[in-house]
Amino acid sequence: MSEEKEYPSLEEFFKNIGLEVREVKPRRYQLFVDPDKLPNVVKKLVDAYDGQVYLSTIAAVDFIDEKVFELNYDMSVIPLRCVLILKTRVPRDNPKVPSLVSVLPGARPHEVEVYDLLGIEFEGNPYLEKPFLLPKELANEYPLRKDWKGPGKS
Amino acid sequence: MSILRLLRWGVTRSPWLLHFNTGGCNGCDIEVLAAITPLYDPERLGVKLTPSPRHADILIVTGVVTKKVAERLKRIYDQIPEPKVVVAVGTCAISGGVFRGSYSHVHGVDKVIPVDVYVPGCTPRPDMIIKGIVEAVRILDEKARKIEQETPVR
Amino acid sequence: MSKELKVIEIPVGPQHPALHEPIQLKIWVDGEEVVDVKVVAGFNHRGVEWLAERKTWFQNVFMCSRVCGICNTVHGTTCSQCFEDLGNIEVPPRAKYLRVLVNELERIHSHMIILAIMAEAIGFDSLFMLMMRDRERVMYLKELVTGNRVLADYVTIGGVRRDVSKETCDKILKYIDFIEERMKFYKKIWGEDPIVRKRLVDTGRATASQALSHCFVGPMLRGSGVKSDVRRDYPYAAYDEVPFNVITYKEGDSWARMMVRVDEIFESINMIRYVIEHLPGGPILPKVVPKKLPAGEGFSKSEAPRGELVYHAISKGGMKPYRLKIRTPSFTNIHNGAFLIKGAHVADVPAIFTSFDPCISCTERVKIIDVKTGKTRIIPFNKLSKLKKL
Repeated sequence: MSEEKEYPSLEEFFKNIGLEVREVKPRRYQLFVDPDKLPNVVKKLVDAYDGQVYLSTIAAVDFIDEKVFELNYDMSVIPLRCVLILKTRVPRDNPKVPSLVSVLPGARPHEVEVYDLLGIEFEGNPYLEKPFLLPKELANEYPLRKDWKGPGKS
Repeated sequence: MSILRLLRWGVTRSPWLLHFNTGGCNGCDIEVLAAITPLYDPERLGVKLTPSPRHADILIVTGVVTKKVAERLKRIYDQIPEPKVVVAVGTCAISGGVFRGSYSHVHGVDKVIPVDVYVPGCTPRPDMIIKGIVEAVRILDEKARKIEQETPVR
Repeated sequence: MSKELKVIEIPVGPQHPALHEPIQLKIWVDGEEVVDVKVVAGFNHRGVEWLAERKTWFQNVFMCSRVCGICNTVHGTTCSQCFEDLGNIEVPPRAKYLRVLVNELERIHSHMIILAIMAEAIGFDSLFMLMMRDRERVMYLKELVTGNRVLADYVTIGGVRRDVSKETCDKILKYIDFIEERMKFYKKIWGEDPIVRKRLVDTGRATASQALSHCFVGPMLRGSGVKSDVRRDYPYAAYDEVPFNVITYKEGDSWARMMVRVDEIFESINMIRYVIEHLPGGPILPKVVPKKLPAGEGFSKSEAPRGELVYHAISKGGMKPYRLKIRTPSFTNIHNGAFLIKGAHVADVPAIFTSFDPCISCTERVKIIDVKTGKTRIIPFNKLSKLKKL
């Protein structure tokens, strides 16, 4: 993991695997990925930059009007000093995404949190539990979904 | 001198504090910690922090009382022997503060246990917390006096 | 695991007064060695992200500052930056420098408090009292600049609320010199004292690749030799103009993590001096700050004392956000760092756990389950550290 090594830019890396990345703001890149391809893309990314890639958070949003959940994987690539946001969408009535814990074990608490608050299932993550952060009374409810009316009302 | 008179003298001359954080932002907690440091020096008044509820006289509660913690707060309160005084420090402990309306907590310590002294502020200064403790000692003295008068000593 | 594993809960009250929010650590032990560990969280869940969708942009800056009281200006700064990114609002240069000033003062006081707490955790009570006494000078400086010791709501969308006068700047420089002198004395203790080193060296070791794959952030990552700092990699406020070094130590144990914090205090002191000498003139707020922000996405990250802090906002236009995601550094560090406790001695658990600099820490109860005999015992956190035989 030397600092002097030449790493490919993100545009080059994604072109090699057949995807196109956009620089939306200085040093902030963004692209849409299919949910099933996600672990593979992340694995290639981690290998290409010698492991110097980490996941900051998973920001999951409920777009109830479009009937989808959108997941934003905010990642950071250390040698390039930039932020990469991988976006993926899953249907609201069947929210399942493959888990990243086998590629990046540090993704575990973020996936459990999203499962607890929004109900998106991460296939392959054996640590999913409910309630994780919520109190016991809300064990079967998902507060961050837009159709949640409040404690005890849905 | 009866044993209860000795108890009252001991408890008011050297009250031991138990601090419990029920899920706050930690702002009030570091001011409580600052209140026991050499600059304010309450140890010259005999005030000491203790880890166990069985040794405590005054319970200082900070933080918004989350539902997960409310039951433990009640348990800790029950373990403190009489006479005891509860001081609620910070706006969150009094009414929920800035987080009022959330699904995950009980709004105010007095919904769980009876409170004797309220110290408002976000965050209150260490001087105000010490004033709250002095008030609590006065109330402790009254309660101990009541126990002394009502308990028959053979 | 033994067949007669019985769990008996004996509640013991909260140990450490300030700082520590309730969290539960369950430790399975075999004799004196920790075999497995589980972190039970959620005692501090206040539903901030749910509340954020129901408050206006300015109300959100107030609320988000109260996510963490110890690094509240950093939360305020990052939240404001996120909304400024969404609304394309320009921050005047003087305000950017003042934001750096308060963020670095925050870093000094936060590092001093965790060093003091660590001193207490290893039984060095007099060092705890001395560091807390010297930390009061930093709190006084914070009060001079922002108006309150803790939680001043100094940073707002577009800039900062109060300006600094020449007298304040002179006072800051004078007190900073005093703090630097004291920190030189403390650096000698943390770096060379044999008892401190014996307690902390070689406990909770994490290699660089473990730290990266488990997504550690902040001093936990830099203590394992990885040179990653948001102020250098993704600069915000005036950090692209203020020179500083990124501190790393390659050992990866609890001692290295604490030494990173000690050295970062010196870097912060130099940064504060630079800011005061090069403070640009001009206004501290732009002429107009809109109340409604357009549709889009806002993203901002910053280096809180504990690590990288991320704010991600999604807006559909209007007075309130559609979704606000906040990722505090302690969330990642604590849940992902728990594996470092495995294999350690029971008496080292407080030292390792405190070296994560948990903003949610101090277990009210540490429940220890002996794997062989099936007996459990509950020990207060500060008594755990006294079990160590040196």
